Amino acid sequence: MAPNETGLQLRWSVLYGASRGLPVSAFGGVGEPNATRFKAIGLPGARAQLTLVLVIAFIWSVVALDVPGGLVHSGGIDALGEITSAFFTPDLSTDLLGTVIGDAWTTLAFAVAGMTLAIAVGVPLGVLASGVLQTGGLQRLGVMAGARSLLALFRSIHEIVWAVLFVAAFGLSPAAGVLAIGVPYAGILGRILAERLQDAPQEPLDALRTSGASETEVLFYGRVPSAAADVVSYAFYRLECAVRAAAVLSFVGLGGLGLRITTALDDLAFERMWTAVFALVLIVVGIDLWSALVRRRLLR
Amino acid sequence: MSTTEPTTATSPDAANHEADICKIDGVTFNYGNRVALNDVSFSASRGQTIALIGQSGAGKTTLLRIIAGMLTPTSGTVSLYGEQPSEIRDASRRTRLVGMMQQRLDLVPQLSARHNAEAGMLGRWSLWRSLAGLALPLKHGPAEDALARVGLAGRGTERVSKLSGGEQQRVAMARLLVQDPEVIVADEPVASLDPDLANELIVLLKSIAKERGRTVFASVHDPRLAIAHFDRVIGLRESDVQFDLAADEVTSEHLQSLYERFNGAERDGAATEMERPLWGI
Repeated sequence: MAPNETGLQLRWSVLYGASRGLPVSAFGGVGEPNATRFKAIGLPGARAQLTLVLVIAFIWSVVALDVPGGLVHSGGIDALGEITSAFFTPDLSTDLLGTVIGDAWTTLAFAVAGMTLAIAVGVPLGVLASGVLQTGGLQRLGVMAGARSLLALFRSIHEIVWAVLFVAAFGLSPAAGVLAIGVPYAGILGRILAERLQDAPQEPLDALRTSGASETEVLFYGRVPSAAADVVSYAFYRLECAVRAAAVLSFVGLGGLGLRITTALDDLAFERMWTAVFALVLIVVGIDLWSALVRRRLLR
Repeated sequence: MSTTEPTTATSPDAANHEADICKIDGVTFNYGNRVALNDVSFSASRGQTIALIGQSGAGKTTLLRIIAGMLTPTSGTVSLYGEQPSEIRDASRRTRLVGMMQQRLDLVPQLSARHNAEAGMLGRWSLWRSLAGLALPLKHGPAEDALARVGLAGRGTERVSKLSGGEQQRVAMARLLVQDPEVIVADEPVASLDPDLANELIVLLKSIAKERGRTVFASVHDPRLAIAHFDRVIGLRESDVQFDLAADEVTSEHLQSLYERFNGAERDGAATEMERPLWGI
């Protein structure tokens, strides 16, 4: 083994020497002194040289690409103009407003139902994953590892992929949409909750234990109050995301604002599209205001 | 217990005798190979107020934590009303026997003053009762009474994070009142307060202890406060009891020898090295 080892060492030292000795000027890093010298005499530095190379590479790649029908759609500029002008003249006819309000209600219902499921599943799992209730060594580790991997499984799959899976299982039913939002969001919410519960400052918790609190009482009197504001505002942010996700899921046929937007786009009826988009924006703004109110109460 | 020669007690049932109902007997505590307390013995009678003074690192906090049962001594015993606090597993019994007030940061800032004070009941309440206390608009009699006693009448619903430092200290005292242990252990209860406020709160602590017949062990930063308001003053230096006197017997010579710096430079270095870990705990 000895000759091999020396060989390895030799190669390493050669590499090492090369990396130290070579004047690496193009990409900053090792060539830092070079770069500063360039700057000092007014020549473009390593970063500028790199930018130039990348820009040339990009232009070359665009020219080299052979896209059938041209890279930019010939009617694209016109369509963009139509979309822009429709932005200022959304369709506000009572007919459409009625349907859009119904669609908005559907989307909101999916989002709220999904979030409710996420909270119902994510909160208990998050508490278990934080390991704050168990004191025993092995059992605690087992519970934590189990809850953590379940949460990881939930959130490592995107809601659209969950939607495809659940639609395959249940068909195009509302349950599929609610589960598709609820499952991944439970994973995210549970993880955030677990971390916040663990990060609660220790001194007040110790004082609670000294006054005779059990770990469950420490959880409710110490950890939950310290985590509440963060977790609640994060849950509201997630509700906004759930509204967006519900809209996207309705593209795949679950009904709601997303479906309205797709059909309007298919008809090139941009005025109708904007009406639906504005409804979506209104929901998100509404949630934002609600969230601010709740947060103010929590931090009163 | 035959660990060391007892200072005052002789009979085996001395623990139930009023005169030395709290007995610290030959207590030694080591953090790794650093000696934090070296064979400390003294006893106290019911209702006595005892101040611990000394430089930081002298072992005051360690001693108080041992009395409160939060640390188990390396050797020696602590006996309060005939029981060893660190041996009591039942939370209700332990919290009735001894309660501790820490230096700072021991309240839950997001909770109301009332809920913080009510935490003193957690040792006695069932889980359901304590959850109901948080969630339902129940009567908060004991907590409100205790808050009124410390001068925070009618302010139970305020969040602790919105209270001033002195008010937070009062809430911590109210929590101890709600818990109402036989032995009150207080580690620097007024360390971060201005002198007037510190004085006021020490007087409050003393009068509460006297009216209920509670025994108090408190470490006090300012020896003048200790001498003015406590029955007895124990001077700790280098992990050892340097003097243990009635408050009116403490002289300026005692204090001078307690607080004078170490002589040798290398001893000084060793001492500051020891201070840090003791503070941190």
